[in-house]
Amino acid sequence: MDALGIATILTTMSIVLALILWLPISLRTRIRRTELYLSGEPQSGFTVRVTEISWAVRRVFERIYEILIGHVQTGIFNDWFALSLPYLLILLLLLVIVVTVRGGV
Amino acid sequence: MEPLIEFLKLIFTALVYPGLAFLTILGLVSQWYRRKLIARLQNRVGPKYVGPAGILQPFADIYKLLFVKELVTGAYTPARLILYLVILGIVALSASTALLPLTPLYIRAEYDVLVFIYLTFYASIAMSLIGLGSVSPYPGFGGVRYATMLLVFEPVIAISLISMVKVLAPNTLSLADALSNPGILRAQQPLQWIFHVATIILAAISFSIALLSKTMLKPFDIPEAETEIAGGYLAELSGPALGLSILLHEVEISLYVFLFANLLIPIPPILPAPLSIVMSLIKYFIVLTILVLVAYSMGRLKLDQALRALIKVPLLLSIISLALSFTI
Repeated sequence: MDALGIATILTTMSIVLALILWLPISLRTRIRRTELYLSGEPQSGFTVRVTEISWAVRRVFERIYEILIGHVQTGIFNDWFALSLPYLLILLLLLVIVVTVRGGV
Repeated sequence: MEPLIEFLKLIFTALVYPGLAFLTILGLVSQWYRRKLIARLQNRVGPKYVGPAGILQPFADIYKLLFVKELVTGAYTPARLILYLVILGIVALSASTALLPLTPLYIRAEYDVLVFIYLTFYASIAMSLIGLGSVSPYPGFGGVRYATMLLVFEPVIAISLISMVKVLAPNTLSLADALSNPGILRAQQPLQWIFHVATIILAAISFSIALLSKTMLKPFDIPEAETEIAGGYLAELSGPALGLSILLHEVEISLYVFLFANLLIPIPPILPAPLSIVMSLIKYFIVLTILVLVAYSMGRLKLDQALRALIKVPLLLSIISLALSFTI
């Protein structure tokens, strides 16, 4: 059996076994809901800012992020296209090299 | 009939040995050992009352949580879904042990190290989804912190694992071959042997640092930081969901440290024999001791400090080790 076959079998087995183990635990467990845990603060008026979830990555890659924001998020499609053109050309060049050297992909 | 028997053997491997039951016992004994070791570092006694020297304390904790009938959770937390995710993470880790040559029933194929990386990734996804899916601020922060670190530590773990396996099983990239028949013993020239050892050492340094962050041990215990975010990703869980989340964490630590110990010290190789398994467990506890002593002599980093540290040292070292492993 190859690696892909093993991955398929083990994944299917994991999903099914997890379901079999989950059913009895889930059925016998009663769920009681309380207010959100906010260290005793009231829940009213609280919102989680989903947009802030990548702040650490942004802080580390700040310079790259600012360049991207400056060039990409201008609302103009051409800016995005101009930024991605060099990469597209590199990909095209790679494709031409692969096709020439190997005679096919 | 033959395929059915093979399938039943696979289920036994995943659920009993070396899968779920074995990993659970190993994980909980390791938790006791880790807690005792940390307690000694901090001039405390550690677990003491349940079982001889408190060894049954982690078992008692998990037992108590698993059989609680009421799960108290946040107003918007999809508790049953989180329960399934956690169980899926544990079962996927257990299923990945079918690739380790601990019983005659193990599975091997070329490039199966990639299958191992893929299956163990379920646990990381489950960990970050516990936090993100709890729909509550503290678990949200924990989940985000874990998901952010995951972007760096998963590639590092994958790259350094592939480089170690490439050195130990150069032709097949099979985890079972790397563990049971390490190629480092067959190196012909002294120079080749030196290159092999250098690759293993570089990969081991990067792997161990990434492992500390994956398993949220100090100084990377940022997602659960109790004094800052009240337990982080676990804050809204209780009862079976909390018990199984703790179990997932312990199972992940024990599986990864077991694999790491046996790749780092490939002699004697793992074979499906009692003496060989005892030897591999001794290697496991030696490596666990070193990791815990190093980890718990440090304080917690901030998230951006941790990311910088992970990018600067382990990522770079793992890429160098990968390049070395493919050039020699």
